[in-house]
Amino acid sequence: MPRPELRTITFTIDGKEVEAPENVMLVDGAKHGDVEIPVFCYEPKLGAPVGACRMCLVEVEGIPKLQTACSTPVKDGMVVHTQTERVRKAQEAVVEFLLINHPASARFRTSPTAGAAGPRASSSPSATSASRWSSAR
Amino acid sequence: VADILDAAVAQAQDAGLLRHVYLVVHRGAGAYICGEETALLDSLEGKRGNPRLKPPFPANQGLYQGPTLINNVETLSTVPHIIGMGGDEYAKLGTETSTGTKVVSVSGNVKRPGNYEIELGIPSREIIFGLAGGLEEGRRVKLWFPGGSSAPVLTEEHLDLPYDFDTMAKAGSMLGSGSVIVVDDSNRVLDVALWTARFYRHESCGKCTPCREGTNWTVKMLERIDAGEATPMDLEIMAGIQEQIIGNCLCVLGDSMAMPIGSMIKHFRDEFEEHIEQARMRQERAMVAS
Repeated sequence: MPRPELRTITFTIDGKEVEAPENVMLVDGAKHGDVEIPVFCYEPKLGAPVGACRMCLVEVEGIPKLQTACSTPVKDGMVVHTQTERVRKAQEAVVEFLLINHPASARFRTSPTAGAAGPRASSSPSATSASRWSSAR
Repeated sequence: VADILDAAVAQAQDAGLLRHVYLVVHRGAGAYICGEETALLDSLEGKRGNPRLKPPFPANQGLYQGPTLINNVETLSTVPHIIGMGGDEYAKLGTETSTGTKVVSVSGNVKRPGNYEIELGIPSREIIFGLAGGLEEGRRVKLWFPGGSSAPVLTEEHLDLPYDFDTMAKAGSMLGSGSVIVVDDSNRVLDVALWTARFYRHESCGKCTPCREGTNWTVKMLERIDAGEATPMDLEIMAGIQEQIIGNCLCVLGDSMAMPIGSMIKHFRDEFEEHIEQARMRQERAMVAS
């Protein structure tokens, strides 16, 4: 059996040039550049990525929509941004979407994400996040 | 409809027209999402009709992992005409960028709802008032969906725009499925929004976060507005939710709710604010009375 060929490619993530094996998912490829992309539903041991939680949305140059890093294979010359305003907003929104209808799990404090203010903050009626919280119920 | 298609397939077979093709009519079991191309493929394979992650796109890996071409029946139905007339001749119909004809399905507060084949680029007014017979006596167009319930709404001032792909996109909406839904001024925009949001909450497959949670959250907020428990700030939050749904979902169903709801808030902000205020006053009076 011939040994599978290992190809290394170079891509740019947050301004850094990073080498990674070709076609690994962006979430894993990013680790080669010490960049961590948050994930909830990505677990390779459970099979192919599903891209359902949308937590790993990142910006890939040349693609108009944000892409899920868990299901996007790295390609040579790809330029990825994980720290832009657009990405931050989308990821915060995902956390907010998840917490808004699951008060029990909102006990976790995952600041600095906006939606994670949780029920503690909702006890102070003046806080913006508190009224956001209460408005969903 | 499936029975009609089945009968047509049988006729074609008897006439010996299907010697090298095999035609099957497969029902989507009524699920809205089965109109989405990848959910449609899952449905065809006998699975639950859930959208797939793209890429790979169906043209590369579609039905049973084979490359698959997906077309609307409407698209296929124009093929004989294009061949018959010749491509150049057919392209003379319509406008420069939206050539040919389109079947529009007009519904809502019109006298003659139904399907009409139009040449692209005719004034939208012509479709609603000409073909569909206009509105009931004394009623005015409050809003209309130019391309199905997933298209951003337009108002009375957009009625004179030509009905084609480019113009509708420039006006901030889309031609989409070509189903024109007309809503007259006897309806509250809040009810239209509630109806739209509830539909998409029901049809959401629940797979991805923004769509599953966002549709539910939007319905709850609209219900709060209706119940007099909302503040004007809630409108701001609701508009923000819509922005965070658009483009961030697994498929376009989330966008399909976020686009019309977002456009309704944009065009009818005053009316929403009025609903919030009136419902609050109603509730306060009820509190005092009790």
